[in-house]
Amino acid sequence: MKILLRLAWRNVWRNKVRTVILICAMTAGLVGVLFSLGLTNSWLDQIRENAVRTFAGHIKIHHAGYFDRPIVTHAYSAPDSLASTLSAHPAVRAWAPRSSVQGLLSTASRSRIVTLVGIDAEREKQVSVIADAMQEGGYLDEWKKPGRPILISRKLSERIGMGVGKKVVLMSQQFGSNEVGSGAFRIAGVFDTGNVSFDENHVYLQQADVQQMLQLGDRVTETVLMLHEMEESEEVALELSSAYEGEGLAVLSWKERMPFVDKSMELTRRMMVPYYSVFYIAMAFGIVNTLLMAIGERTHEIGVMMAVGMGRKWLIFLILLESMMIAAVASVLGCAVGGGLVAWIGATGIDLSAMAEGLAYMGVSRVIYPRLGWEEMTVAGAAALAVAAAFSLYPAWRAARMEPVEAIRSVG
Amino acid sequence: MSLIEVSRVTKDYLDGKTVIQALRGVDLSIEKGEFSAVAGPSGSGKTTLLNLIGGLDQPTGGSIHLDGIELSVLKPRQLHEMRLHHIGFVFQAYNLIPVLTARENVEFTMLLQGVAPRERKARALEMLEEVGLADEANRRPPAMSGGQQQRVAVARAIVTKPGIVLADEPTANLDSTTGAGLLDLMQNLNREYGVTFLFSTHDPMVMEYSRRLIRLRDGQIKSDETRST
Repeated sequence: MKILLRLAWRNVWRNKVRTVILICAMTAGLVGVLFSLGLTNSWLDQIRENAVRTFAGHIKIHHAGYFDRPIVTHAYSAPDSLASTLSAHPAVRAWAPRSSVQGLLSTASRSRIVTLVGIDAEREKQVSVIADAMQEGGYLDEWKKPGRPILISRKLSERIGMGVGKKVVLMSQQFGSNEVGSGAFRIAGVFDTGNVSFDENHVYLQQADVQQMLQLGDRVTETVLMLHEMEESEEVALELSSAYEGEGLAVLSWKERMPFVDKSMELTRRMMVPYYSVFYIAMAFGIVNTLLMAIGERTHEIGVMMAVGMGRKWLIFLILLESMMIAAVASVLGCAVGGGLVAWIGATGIDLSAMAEGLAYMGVSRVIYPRLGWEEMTVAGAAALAVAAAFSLYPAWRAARMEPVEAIRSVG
Repeated sequence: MSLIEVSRVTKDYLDGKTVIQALRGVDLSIEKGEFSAVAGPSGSGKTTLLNLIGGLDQPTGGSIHLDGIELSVLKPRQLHEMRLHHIGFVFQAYNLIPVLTARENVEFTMLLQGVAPRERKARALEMLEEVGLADEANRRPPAMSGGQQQRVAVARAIVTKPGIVLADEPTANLDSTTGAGLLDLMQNLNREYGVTFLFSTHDPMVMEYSRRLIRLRDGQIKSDETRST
């Protein structure tokens, strides 16, 4: 066996230039696959992370009817045990209550329908990006002037033509009646999460102000949870659900609340498969071409080997071995270079400011950070080996079909 | 029973639409331990005859028995096995695998037979010593002379102790001194170990060394003489 391995390895390097070119081509292909994979991962991570970190959280606890009809009537008083349960739960990193309802924001000249989000300013810092996304003015807890503070986005600020310090009026249906509650608020700060479609439609207020304006008492419309590990979302949601279902509450993971995000991520991954296949098909052609040339050059030698007793299975095995050796070198190099490149660029990020406007609507930030897992690198490398094995079968079969006497006659 | 029995063997080739009769009813018996040559001019059919005896090609008509087994009924896999265990080959040139050393080339057929690595190596070195190339064991064919390469080929052919060694013009690319040395070697192996050799040749020196000379012309045996040397 050692001799056969040595024979295959030395055969591989008989035509060094050709082998090096093939290895370089396969390596480049694999680097292309890994880099694309890294970009896709980063892209999808950002869409998911932004969705979760901007507003959705890993888990939300609602009134049972709120998910279907997000109206103020579906606000709830948190059970006594909820706060202590969440604070003590080992999987929960942070949690915050919110009072979130549809309302009308008006200025002297313009009106817009927005979602009023009443928050516990301190707790909210732990579960969303709003506090970190402040561009002008200050966060809710920094507001020291008279009047009730409100945070609006840069986009909304541009649309209504109002900035920090200006007054806006909010109106929304009150809890337990058909009356409309309203109040005047001062713009305390302007934020920009990078997600334009979200920013345009959300304003933030102190929870107490919303509760008072809408006569909610101590009621909230949702409790948002951030976990230490996102992957535990469904498991923890299920656990909390069984504990609070009886209280008329629904506990939903981000996947349940935003199935389109999960599905679109899955769809994107599937749609990338034909793209990756192009790289592998190019590798396959390179292998077939090189092996056919090599076999053509070694016809006499193959004839001699068959004459001295080398069976067809051995011959096919030898050619597969040669192909696998080339692919193994290319896989190792490709994974090293591709993985290194992704790690290097992943550390600094790729600035996509030129298309930031378009990306912002898709929930993707201006800078993306390619990322690769070991599992993905292993699968990509193994796929190159599998392609090499599959596509070397044809040249191997052709070699094995040679008649020894014809092969020996060819010029050595 | 003869080692090889060739009965009324014919072999036709198609050259475009023309049928070329390479062999026309050849009858031949080779006994164990012979040191024989099939001689004749180019196109007489001597290489074709050796290829048929070696199971590298199939006759158009007639039959060939090797050690009592009819070759034409064997499947390709069985023919490979037959060649691997019962026949040694030495060709005119480019006999060896250029990327393997002399020792590895000799080991190659034993590898295919499934001989254990340690035994393989020992037998290969022993055989290389036998053919006078013990010091060249780790050299590759391109770094060896034509004569040395043919000696390695002979070592590879006989290391598995085959029933017969078929040598197709083994001296064709060698000068007379080297050719004589190679023939001396094969003659010694024949005398010492009883290895059967059958050559195809048009080299007068090979004919001189052979104890039996079968002359072929136009695909037919014209003479078959046994001599004492």
